[in-house]
Amino acid sequence: MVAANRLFSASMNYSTFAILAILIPLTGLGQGSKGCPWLNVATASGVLRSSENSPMATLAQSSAALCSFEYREASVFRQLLITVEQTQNPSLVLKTQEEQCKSKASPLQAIGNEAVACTVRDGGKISGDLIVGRVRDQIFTVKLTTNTENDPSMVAEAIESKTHMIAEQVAGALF
Amino acid sequence: MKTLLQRGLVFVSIAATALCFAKSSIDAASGEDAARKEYADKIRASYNYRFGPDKPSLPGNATVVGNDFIQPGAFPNAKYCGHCHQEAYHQWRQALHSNSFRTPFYRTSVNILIRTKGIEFSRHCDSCHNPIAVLSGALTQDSKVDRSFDQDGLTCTTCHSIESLKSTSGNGGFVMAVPAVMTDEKGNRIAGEVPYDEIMKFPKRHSMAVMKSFYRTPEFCAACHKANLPDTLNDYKFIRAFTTYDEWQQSKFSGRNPLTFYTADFTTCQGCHMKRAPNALPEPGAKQGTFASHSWPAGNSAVPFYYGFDEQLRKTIEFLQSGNYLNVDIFALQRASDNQVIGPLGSVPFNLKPNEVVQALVVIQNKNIGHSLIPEVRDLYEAWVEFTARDAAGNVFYHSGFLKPDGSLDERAHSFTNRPVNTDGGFVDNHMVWTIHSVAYDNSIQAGRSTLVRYEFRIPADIKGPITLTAKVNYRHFRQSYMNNVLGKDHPAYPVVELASRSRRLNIGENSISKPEAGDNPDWMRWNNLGIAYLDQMQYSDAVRAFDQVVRLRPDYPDAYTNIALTEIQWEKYDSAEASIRRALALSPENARALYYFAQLERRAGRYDAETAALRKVLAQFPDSRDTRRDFGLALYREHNYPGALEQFQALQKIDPDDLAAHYNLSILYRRMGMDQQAEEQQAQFIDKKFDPGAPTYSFDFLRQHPEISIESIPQHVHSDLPSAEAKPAYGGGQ
Repeated sequence: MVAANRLFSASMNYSTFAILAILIPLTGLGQGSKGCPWLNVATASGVLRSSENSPMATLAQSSAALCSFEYREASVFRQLLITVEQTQNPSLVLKTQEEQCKSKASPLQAIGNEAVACTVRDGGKISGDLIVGRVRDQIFTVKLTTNTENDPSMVAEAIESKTHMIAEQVAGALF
Repeated sequence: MKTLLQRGLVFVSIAATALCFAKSSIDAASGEDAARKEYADKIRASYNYRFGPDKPSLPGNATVVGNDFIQPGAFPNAKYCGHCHQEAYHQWRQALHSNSFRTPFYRTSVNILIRTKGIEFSRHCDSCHNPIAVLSGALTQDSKVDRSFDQDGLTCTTCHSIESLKSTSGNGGFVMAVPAVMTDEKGNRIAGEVPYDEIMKFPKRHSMAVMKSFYRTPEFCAACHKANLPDTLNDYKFIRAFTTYDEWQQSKFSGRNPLTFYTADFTTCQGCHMKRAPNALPEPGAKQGTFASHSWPAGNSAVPFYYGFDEQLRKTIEFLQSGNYLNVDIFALQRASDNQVIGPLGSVPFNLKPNEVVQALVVIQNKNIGHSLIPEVRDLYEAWVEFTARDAAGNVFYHSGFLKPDGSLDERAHSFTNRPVNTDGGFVDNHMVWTIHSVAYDNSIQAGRSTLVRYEFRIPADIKGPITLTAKVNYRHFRQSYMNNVLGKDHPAYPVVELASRSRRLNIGENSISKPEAGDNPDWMRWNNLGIAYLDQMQYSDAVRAFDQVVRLRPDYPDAYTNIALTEIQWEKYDSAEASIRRALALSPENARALYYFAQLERRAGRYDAETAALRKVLAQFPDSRDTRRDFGLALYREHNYPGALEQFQALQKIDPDDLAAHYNLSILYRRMGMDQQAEEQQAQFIDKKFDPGAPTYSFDFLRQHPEISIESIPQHVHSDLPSAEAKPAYGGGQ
């Protein structure tokens, strides 16, 4: 696998390599072959649902490199997106991922080796928080968003603590 | 398409599984908790019962009342408790208990177990590190459990819901009740959270629900601060992992062992790790302005460093440097030219010359730790001696135990670690304990004992002015190779804490007698510790000479004679041992320690009545002495007093459920008394736990591959940079 990475990096530009690198299978933690390797649906649902009685979130996409958990309730759409990428140039990938931030990134202590948090927006359609972190040579992102302005389950403080908790889960699984 | 046979097998399998689950379902239902039953039904449907349908926690031992899965939400979380118990919450949040699961230092190791063997095996570790995960049935493939509780590790309502203890086997040897913070007026537990004003109205009922008197005992700590590796984990056999509780039980602080070298007031684990101190925040649990520490300061400086918990880090360092836990004594110099031992330094005059080769004899005493140095995870934690010899300008001309530029420890340092090895003879790195088959060496110092570390160096020929020798005991979480594996090599330097140190300035030329420093042991104790160290290194002649000096300085001290007798028993000089023990008993006729060794000598001489009479006297004073129970059981067995022997070995097993002699003798005794089932159980346990005679071969493989550190496996060895032709043997010259 290391040899394969070297081959790619020698012949392609970085962004191409980055896309391919996320396809590299990483080992998960017993979530099962169909689940997300870094987080189970129940834990994702815990941050996406409006209440304990609400339906569970769904795992819309799952691979060793990307997990997308989604939750819909009437017009509300919330998403938890996790990416994991193994790289030979962590600092560069970390910086690239941080470019998603729409606010100044704040450093976080005790999430992986290093991590930053920021808010994200997409033309006013979605808003939420993003954490970009590193565990050794693995860069991960955790993005928790909602499409609803003033979403009562996603007020700033709640979304911050939920994103933090999920980032800790993902980093823990990557160690 | 499935065949009829396949379908039949599936049906039989489902039916059998359903039958197995039926009992636990009934148990849960009887707990009147419909929500729990519904939850447990869901979990059971897909749970991995690899270790048996009635053993959901194996290879760990954690259990919950009702013997069925319990919802994580049944545990009121720490913030709920912290609403009133603000000081407890504040301390706990930074403490190791609250971070018992989430830290990278734990996750790295347990993740390897999950990836290589399966998540179900992690129930062994998480029975203590994350009991809610175990008891809620989260540790299975395709888990349906919300793991948001992970970040709270051992939360308030895990410890404070424990209803009873199983034994002192560890691995989570507790039974948890359904969490409750209140009882009703009849004392029945009310599950889950209740409004705060209800608690405030009935504080005694709150206390009844969350406090048990055994929470203050060392046995409570033993539930997790003792661990073994069962065959369900390692597919091999039972191996003792760490035995902190046993170390305390055998220490002077327990008052349960007559054979300790020194005595002390009874002190529990909580007495050191949960000391009372004034609380800064509101705390209803405080009494008279002080609150029992929920920071549990101990040795782990890495976790608070990682999380930026400065208060916990400060408390940890203060704790490690307090308590007079260790004594470092640069006891003597030994000249290579004539093998003369000059000591105790400070109490004897001597001359030192340039260009001399000398050995510094450094005695490290585990003086006031209620367990070994290092306790528990000796393959990851690192304590070692750093020894330097400097000239007057501060230039170092000998250095052992330094950290290299990459942060790793000098391989030839004297460390109080161990080296577990696997079947390939390789070091078991990353705490992969399930691969351990042998231990190449274990240089920890047991509670109350001492070790002798020898440093040999040449004094520079052109030396000007005095030299300064310094010996320090340093400590860090974790060994550098593990830190690198966890965080990669680019991590910041983690704290190294100096536990204790002693320096001596020695003149080139004449040295006169000097005053002791505060904290120095008196000379009789310095000799005594040297004798203990020699004894443990099987240097019997030197040990006797050291203990003779104790007799000279304290002729009224019975233990000085007992120590000589103990050494001579090990040296197989029984006649002189008997003379020494009789002198001890003449000074102190009821001295339990002397009586115990007297009994050993009487047994060897065939005077069995005197032996049993002495053992009875010891047991009257120390009913929880495992050595005495063992010896007395054998004596009664020899007399064909089988019920009496049975009683002794049962008592021994109660003290240590894993005692091999208890298993062996109970299997025979039960058989003789017609109790075949019990006999078989004991026999099976004996076979599982007995030493594997093939295991040391793996250690030999390791030591052969690592000659640079194999010297550490030899009890008496010298640390030296000198060419071997100049080096001197490690013994005192009197053998």
